[in-house]
Amino acid sequence: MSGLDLRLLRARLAAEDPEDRRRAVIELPGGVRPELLELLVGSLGDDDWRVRKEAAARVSRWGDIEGATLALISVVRDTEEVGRRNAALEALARIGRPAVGPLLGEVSTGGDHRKFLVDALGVIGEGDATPVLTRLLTDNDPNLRVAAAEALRQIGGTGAKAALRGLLAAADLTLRLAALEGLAVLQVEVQVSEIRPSLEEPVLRKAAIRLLGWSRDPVAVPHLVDALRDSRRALHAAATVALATLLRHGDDDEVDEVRRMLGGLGPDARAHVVAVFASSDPEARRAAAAVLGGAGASEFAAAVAEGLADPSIADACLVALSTMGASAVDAVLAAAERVEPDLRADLYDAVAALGQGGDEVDRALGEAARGEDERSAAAALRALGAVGGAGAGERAAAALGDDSLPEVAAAAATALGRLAVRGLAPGAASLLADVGLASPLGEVRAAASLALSELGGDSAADVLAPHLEDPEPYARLAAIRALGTLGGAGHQHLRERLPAEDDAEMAAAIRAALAEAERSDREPDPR
Amino acid sequence: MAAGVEMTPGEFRLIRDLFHRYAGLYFNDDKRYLLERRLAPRLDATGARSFGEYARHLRTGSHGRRELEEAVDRVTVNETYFFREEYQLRAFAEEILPELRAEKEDRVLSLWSAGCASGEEAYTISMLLIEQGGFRDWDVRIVGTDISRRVLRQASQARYRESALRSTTALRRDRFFRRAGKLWEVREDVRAPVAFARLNLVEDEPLELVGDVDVLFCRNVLIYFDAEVRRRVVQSFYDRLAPGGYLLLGHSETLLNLPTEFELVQLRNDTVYRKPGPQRRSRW
Repeated sequence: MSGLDLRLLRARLAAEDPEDRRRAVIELPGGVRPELLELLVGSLGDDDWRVRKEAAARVSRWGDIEGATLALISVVRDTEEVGRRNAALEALARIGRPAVGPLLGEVSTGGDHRKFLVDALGVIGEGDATPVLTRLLTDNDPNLRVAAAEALRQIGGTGAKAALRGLLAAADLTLRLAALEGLAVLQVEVQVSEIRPSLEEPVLRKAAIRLLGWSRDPVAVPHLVDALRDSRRALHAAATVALATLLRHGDDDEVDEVRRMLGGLGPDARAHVVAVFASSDPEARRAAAAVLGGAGASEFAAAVAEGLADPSIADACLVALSTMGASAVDAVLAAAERVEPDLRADLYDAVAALGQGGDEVDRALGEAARGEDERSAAAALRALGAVGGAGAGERAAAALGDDSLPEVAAAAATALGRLAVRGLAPGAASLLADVGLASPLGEVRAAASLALSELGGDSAADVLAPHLEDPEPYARLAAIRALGTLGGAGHQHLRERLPAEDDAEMAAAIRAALAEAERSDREPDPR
Repeated sequence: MAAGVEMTPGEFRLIRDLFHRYAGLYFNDDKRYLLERRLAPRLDATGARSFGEYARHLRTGSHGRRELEEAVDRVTVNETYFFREEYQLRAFAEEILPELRAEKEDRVLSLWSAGCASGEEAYTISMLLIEQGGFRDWDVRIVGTDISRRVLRQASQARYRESALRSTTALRRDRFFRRAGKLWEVREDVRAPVAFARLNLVEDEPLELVGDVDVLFCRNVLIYFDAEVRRRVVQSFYDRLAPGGYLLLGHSETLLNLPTEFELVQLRNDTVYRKPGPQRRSRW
């Protein structure tokens, strides 16, 4: 390239119109020539942020990546201009792994600029930086120590987690704060005893509360309930999120214990959780819904149901409503009439989970079972099977024979089975055998098979046996499972079928059903 | 029966990973209950006794692929409505369309609604073209694609509940719809240029179906993907757009932090992305 060309490029990069300068950056020739790199690096300090961004993108793809990295590090070391420095840091982050070696070399020297380079290492997120960053946690520069802790949080991994955990007893509260926040972001399970001292420090309390959520230990609950009662929003909001974390990530026993403890939540704490639910932060709102559900706070069911209209929290509200207990059912049914079909189906399934029936519930579900949306109608029928009264069988029987709505007909078979088990559909077995198993729809035959297996009896086994040769694979699998559940004659049919079964998937399913039956025979029924 | 069958955390991860591989969808741990509830009916329909067995069936069963489509359909959100995010549609109608009309000499206009759900967006585009009035003698192709066959069936039927018209003025409703019982049916002249096709954005080859595109709408779809899948899908959009073609994302979506060649273009009504092209000068 001639000197004239360089002058032209410089002129274009200095043009008055920022769009012309950005174009000049884009059209700058590629390659490895240092004078071109110098021009590009110069544009990192352009007055216009779009030009700086373009220059950062170009330099991060430069042919001589090592040269570009060293030039960018020099910019960070030598400049006081925030825009230029940030553009250089963005370019270093874009370069990624190839920049890590030079960056680690530079941060091991000295100078205030090291903090920015440590930030870049955090954004790059390469685990190779962990040992050096861990050493920087004891550097004399307090800003550098905190930057290192934050970078470790961004990098994650076993080494970073261990280093952050080691800071929980640090005398430097700023460093300890970074550790508490980092461990929560990395979802590290930390013992309550390790967090407790930080609860006593006002500046650390909020972060310590958040981290208690990752203890997976119900011992944390009293601390969190204390914080829920605190009138400061930051604290009760943090406690809400932590309690939701405990509910979400604990095993069954832990969750049951947390729920039991939340059941005794006082009115002031409940009011604070409701206030968090009314906030604009989706994460906090989701957490508040979970805590209200966990506490069985059905007096707030209508408020939580309002949240179903917000797609960012709708599923959390659904879970909450499903766990609030029987008295939430009215709010759930009222909400179902307002929401879109997919969510409506979820709400009818929630009614089944709540287990609360009654005339009004029967009426609402019966109407929904005749609705236009197939999925919602199917869910309403399943719910009728779970909680419906004596009239529900009639509704299910009518739907079972409607071949135009496969999902509804399959749900009707399921509902009939459930109602029969509850003693509310005396003719269900005949209907399932004569209508359900005779359906032209495979999924209806499958559902009818499974429903029949719940009713039991050798005659059911005989009715089901021909479906071991059903043309629809799912219906065959369902028949296998149903005969396995029936035992006795059902197992006999499976044993007879096994030698003739030429489909490997079905043969495996038969063997699994028989093996499970043998296991069950060996293990006494705990009931 | 599947009632009461719980999805263990391990089963959730198995199914989540299958959805991610198949459709690029990412579900965080919060979504376990939702997946459990929405997939529970499929246990009965497939003869599976547990979600673990269901996951095995999705992965290796003879009809696993078909069931995977069904499962993904059940767990994705398909709720949308006509004239959604109107400021962006104004930018499309008042700024992008006049530019295309002035500059496209072949008089072919190709528009793609990616992740079209039940078709409201594709029909909205068609309505805006009719309102614009300058494309009557053009070859206009509007393609709506989605991964869900169920919503595409609804799109083809072109019949909608009242709530889908929540942002539609009475004037537009009367002009573009007619009553069909409790529903509203899209009129034939709106439907004529619109076609629907099933397409999994994560699979590259079917994108060939769409042809070179002048404007690509992909609103509130990328939010369901993780960064890597988002990068791949955005690259495929870039490849599919004609030079100078526009990409319109949802209001909460951005290509920030994605390595992409798209230009950010500040229009009067909205900020949009554009594939650099020789014929038009970029604006901020």
